[in-house]
Amino acid sequence: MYAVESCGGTVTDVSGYFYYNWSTGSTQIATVDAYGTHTGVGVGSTTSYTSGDLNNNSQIRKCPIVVFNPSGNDKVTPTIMLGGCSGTNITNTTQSVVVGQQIVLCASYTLPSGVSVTSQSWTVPGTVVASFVPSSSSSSLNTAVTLNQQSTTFYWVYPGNPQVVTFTLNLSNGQSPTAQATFNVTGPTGGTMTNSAYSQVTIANLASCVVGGQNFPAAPWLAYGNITGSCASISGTYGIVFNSPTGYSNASGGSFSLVQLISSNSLSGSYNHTFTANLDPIGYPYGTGLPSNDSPIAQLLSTYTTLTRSFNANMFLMWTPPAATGCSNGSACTIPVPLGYQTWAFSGSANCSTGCGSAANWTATTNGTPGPVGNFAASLPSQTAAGNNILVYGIPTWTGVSQ
Amino acid sequence: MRILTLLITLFCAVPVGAGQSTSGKPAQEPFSITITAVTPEVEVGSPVEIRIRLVNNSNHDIDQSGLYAYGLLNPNYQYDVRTENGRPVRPKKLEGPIIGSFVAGSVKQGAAVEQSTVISAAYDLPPGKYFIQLARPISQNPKDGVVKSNKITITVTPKKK
Repeated sequence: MYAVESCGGTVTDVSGYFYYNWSTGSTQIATVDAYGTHTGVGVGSTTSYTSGDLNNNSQIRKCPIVVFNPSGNDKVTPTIMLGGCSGTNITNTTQSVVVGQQIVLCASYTLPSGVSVTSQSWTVPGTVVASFVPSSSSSSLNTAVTLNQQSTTFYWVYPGNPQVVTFTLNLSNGQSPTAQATFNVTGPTGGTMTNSAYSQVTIANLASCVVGGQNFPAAPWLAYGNITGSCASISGTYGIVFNSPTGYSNASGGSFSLVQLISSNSLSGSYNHTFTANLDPIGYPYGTGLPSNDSPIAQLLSTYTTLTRSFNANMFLMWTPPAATGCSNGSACTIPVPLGYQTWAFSGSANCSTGCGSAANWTATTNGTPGPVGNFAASLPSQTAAGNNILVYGIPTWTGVSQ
Repeated sequence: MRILTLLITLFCAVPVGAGQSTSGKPAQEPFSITITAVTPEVEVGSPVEIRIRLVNNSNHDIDQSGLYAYGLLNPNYQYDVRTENGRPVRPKKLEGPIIGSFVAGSVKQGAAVEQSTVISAAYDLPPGKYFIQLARPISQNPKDGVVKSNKITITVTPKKK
């Protein structure tokens, strides 16, 4: 008689456990001894019985140590951290952020032994840039957001929601786990920037002055606007005034600013020069805030008899958000984003026959209608140009000051 | 075309500390000026740009209006640009008429404004080390003195081959 041994799993002879318990149902037909040996007695059939306790041991058996090698699918689950790898887990949550705020995301994950990363990628919807550092010497714009590393840093340029960011991890074991986080990106919308424009170019008779340690002699000037005084302090009506923006929702806490790009600017006649399409010499940002204005002028030297100026520029309205709570990256915490721009232009001439050192001997002629050209145009991701100025995602770019 | 040589009046570079006025008054100055180099070391020919931060500590607005012209710097400040030997650097000569824009503006009391200006637009800066300091009159009365900025150093390096 055999049975499976419970510890080792081997088939073992257990006949001895049944000795001395054998019997038959009819000894007239068969008998059985203590060891289970049967002996026939008569014709017929009967049943044999025995019993035994296979666990009837006085000793406790110790099973051998068996090494198991369990196997199956190990699951890697990445999480998305906002603010860097030590930031906040935002996986499967919805976050409210603002255009122009720096977004730093890091994918956190633990790899099992023997598994490596073959590639990783981020999918970020909407219009994003890696950085934008405007200054008076250039607008350093980087649109190449790093999307194939564990971390990614970017700025949304335009509002939109929901923006679902996905991180995908491709592993050597063939798995491709993902993680997602949703962003509601808000920012100023629905507003505009109005302006008021003077209707003529004029001859301005400005007194001498010292500005920045430099002497400016008294002279007649061809000016857009109607201004008097000296170059250090003028009064009158500026050529164009850009009013403070109105109607923008979701703009509280941020700040508006201006950037002006010269699209075309040429002088001809007694002096000839065509300026490059680039940043207005006022620099970045334009002026000290809103409202602001511009009265372009050109000095009329006493040796001149005629000067014609044609001018076309784009004044961009930008908005910089407040830094996100907890951002410690200084000026990189925010970038200005474009809201829209106003194209404006003027063209006019100054002429003199004699005594051209005196403003009284110059006359001005206005060509066309100076001031705004068209309406304030809202910035769009698809915009690549405004006149001769280059835009990227609607963001104004420049390589230096117009000259 | 004629060459217009602008007379340059460089203010005297009295060695005072950052933000100190020459008025000698112990009271808080009506504003402070802090300048920083966008890039402290630049290759010759590249823009030498500084950021100017003005903080209005007074009880009135500060006028920032002025004539911003091609080849000139922010008109609200006086510029002291010196070589490492202490010699003042002369601004470039401007050719042709002055062309620019009158722009009005002000800094509200308690507010700050940051602008930048490209020093190399007005100064020829061959390779070397330069000290830059800005100043601004406190008022139109010269007796009130000026507020000076901190002094920064910018190094212009030779062109890399």
